[in-house]
Amino acid sequence: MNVEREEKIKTRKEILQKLKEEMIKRLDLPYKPEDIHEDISILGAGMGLDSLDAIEIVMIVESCFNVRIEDGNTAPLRSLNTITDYIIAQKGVEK
Amino acid sequence: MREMFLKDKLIANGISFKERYGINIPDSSGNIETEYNSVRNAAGLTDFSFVQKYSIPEQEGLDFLNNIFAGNVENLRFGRVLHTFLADENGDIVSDCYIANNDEEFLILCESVTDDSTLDKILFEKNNGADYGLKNITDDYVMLSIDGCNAWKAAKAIFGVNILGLPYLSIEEFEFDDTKVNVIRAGKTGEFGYYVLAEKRIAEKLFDTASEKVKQIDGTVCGLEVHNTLRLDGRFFNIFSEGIAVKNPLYLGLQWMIDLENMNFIGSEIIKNQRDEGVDKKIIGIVIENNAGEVVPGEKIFDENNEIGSIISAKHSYVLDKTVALALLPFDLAYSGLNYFLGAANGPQIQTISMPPFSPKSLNMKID
Repeated sequence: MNVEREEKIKTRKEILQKLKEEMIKRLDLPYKPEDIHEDISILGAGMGLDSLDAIEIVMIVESCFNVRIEDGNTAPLRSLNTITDYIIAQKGVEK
Repeated sequence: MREMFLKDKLIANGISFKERYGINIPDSSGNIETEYNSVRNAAGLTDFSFVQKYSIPEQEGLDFLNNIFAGNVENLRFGRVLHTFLADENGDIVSDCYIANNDEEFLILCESVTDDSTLDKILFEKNNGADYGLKNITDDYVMLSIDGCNAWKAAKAIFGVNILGLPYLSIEEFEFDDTKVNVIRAGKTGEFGYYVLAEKRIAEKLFDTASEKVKQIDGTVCGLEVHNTLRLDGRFFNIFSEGIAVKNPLYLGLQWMIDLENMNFIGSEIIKNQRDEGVDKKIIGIVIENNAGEVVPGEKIFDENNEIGSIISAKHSYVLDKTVALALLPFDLAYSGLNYFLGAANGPQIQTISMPPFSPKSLNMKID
């Protein structure tokens, strides 16, 4: 596996693991991190979280990654993968 | 073969039919792009009466449902709807189900990869459903689906303003033509969705009214084929596509449909063992440029010279103007943003993507 791809996977893996662990802890979800597919919808369908949970997720992103999701910007909140894309883009981690 | 009660109405609206699991289902108008755009930009009306429908009394039904379906019905409050599945003894998914707590009964709505009689056999013969008061009500009702970013406008025009307060995954009674109908807010397109369950005696009038209201807001009558694309690029589970191809709920990422703390449903032992041992594959979204040609399920995916997986489903997304696909890949390679090759080591380059790949209009729609 090439170095660039290994680095990409490592970055995503770390962000996703942290996001999942914090969501499970703070939202009291009955899952192990590996139970949560990264593309499953976070709000409504899929994980079935509501708008209050969405605020908690925004706070997780801010406190764990120092990345702010502006009020009304719902686009990153589609799935854990899209949140991760947003974090990577905001931090400029991925070259 | 089971026929749709509204077949003549659908044919009059240009919809052709095809057989799927012993049911003659409405397929398409022949113009998938128009149907697709009507849902993404306005509203589409689709006859979902192919769905197998059951009712069971609340008290008697609890144990039955919890021993059959993967989700936990115990905590399902009145008026709420649970999205779960039915598996077979091998833990393979058989039916994608909504279970609604509707006053003193549960309604069970199933999209199945079996015909009606096989599903009946599972629920009645193998699991003694009749002893718990289970009834097959498939032939008593039609089920219409109104989907789209403006579907709420059509629903409001038909049932009144109160429908706007119906939360996602909820069921409520409304009146149409002095008859009670059940409306479930659900849907698998990413846009607003309303399932309407109505008795056959008002079905034709309801269809005419719904189709008139949908057309008034630039929508159209759709077949079921377009829902394969809408589910794929909306990243909703589709039992008729990735469900039947992969079968394994853990590979499909359906853990959220399972009550993981209380696993005693059909097939749960196998699923539990797989979960304990760790899942080695999963599905991931793929985007493929149009110059790669037609992409078909089963095509192999390569990483350098190694075959690592295959395409499970693929459709042209009219929003992205590219092919969107799902692939089954080894767990450690199924991350978004990676490049692989289609068909051969020197085939067209494809990229894994985060799903859903765009924000549906309904996500930011203000309704009033």
